[in-house]
Amino acid sequence: MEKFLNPNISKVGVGLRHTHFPYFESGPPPNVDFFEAITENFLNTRGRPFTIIEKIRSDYPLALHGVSLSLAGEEDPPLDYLKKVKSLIAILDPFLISDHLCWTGGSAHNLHNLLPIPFNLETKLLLLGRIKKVQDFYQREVLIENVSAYFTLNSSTEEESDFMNDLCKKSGCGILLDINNIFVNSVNQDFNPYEYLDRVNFSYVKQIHLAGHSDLGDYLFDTHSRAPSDKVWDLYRYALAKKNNIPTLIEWDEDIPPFQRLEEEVKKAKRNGF
Amino acid sequence: MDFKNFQKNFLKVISTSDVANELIKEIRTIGKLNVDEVISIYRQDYVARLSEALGEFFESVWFVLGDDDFFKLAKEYVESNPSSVQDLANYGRHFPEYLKKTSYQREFPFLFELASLEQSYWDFFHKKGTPYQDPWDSLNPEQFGDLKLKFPQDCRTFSSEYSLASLFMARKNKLNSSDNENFNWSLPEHAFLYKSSDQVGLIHLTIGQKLIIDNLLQGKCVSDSLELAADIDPQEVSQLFSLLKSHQVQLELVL
Repeated sequence: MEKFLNPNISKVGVGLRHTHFPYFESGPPPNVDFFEAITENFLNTRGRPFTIIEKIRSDYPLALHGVSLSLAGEEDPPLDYLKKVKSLIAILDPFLISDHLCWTGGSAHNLHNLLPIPFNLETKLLLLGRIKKVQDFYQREVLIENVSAYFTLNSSTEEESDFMNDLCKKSGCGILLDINNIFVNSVNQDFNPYEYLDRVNFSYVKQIHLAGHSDLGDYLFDTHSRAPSDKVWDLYRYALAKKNNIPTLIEWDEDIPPFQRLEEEVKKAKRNGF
Repeated sequence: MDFKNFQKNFLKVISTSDVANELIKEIRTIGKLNVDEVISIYRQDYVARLSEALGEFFESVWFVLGDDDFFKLAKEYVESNPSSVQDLANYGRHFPEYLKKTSYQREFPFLFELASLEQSYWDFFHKKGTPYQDPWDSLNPEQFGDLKLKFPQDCRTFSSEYSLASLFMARKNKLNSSDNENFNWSLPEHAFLYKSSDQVGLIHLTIGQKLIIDNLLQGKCVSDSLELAADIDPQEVSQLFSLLKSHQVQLELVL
């Protein structure tokens, strides 16, 4: 964690992906400030992926990012899942733990997707109870991330940014702000992304995600298959003007390039951070 | 419609393609897309995500079937086997059984066996490995016959009328799917799959060598195991123990 002690050093990390495992085993030390691992990828393994993440953790700060908590799901998150995550947290001691502001399906039918929720009082009460339970169970703060959504719900009565601010205020959770998701949604849902950022209470923002998207003609799709677009970088700079030195992650999950390419994006994010 | 009912209806529509009126009223679409189109974004993503997971775990089956047939089959499996797991690495446990019932099994009668082998591979892969320590150095040759070999927990032998081990290794060596047409999969094979340190390895065996390992795995000592495989060529025996040593199969030698 020493790298995080100097407040003037920008903190930019990348996702830990198995494509790069051979590079980590034989290449030079990765030139990044931290790694973020998908929590679920390490819940049921004690083999090579676990050896790698333990090695990475001995050299770098690590964030754990979940995709299956399904905070707004039909049922409470399963206890065995929470226990496994807690055990992983105990072993890896991540500096951040996060999941998404979404639901992912039901216990008998997990869609493995981050599905939109209505931003209204009913959902907020449900989420406040769930977030509190999860944080109490983990004994840690959890960050929640805004997702890309290809529809919204008519029963929403609030803006997403206001909804997240209120969740943080009342539950003690933090925000993982995905700038690319805001941009993708702003185009698809026709709103001003800068106004969205203006409404976010940045005192709650503890991490930022940056990723690339694809233009499918009728809509933008959050593919994580390329570098962030110029417009996403512009939004990032706008966000950092509100609060600097927010740990920032470069996400790249499809068509994953050589690790050196990710390091270039890390450098770019560091340049944008000042 | 409250959110719980919305969720039930949404899950149903992902499986059935039948969009309920209540759902249409609740969903605000993006851009020029209609409700069917936005739901199909999620439906296609679901099928693609789970099919990719199957492709990752059953890459030898994918190699044999080729892209088109594998993903057609994967789509059918995904549509009839909803995921109830949090970790996608646990999806597809019933895929080998499912293969048995498909028409592809007639064309490739080894698909079930091949998929089961791949499942064992991944099961071993995710188990904790122990660093290799050479057990042979301290061996007194005079005691060899009385030895019992304690194998690692994560190992198994297998035999097939088909070239399963070669198919499996071919895929691991990253041959292209187009190479499968030239692959002779009709030769009987025997092999030993094992975990050593962080690696999962595979050793081709003769039928005699496989029989010896099976005997050793049952806890028989070396001399009894060799006696039960009486017809085996001494060279094969010697080769077997050399293979176990050179592949660094983690054994415990018990007297």
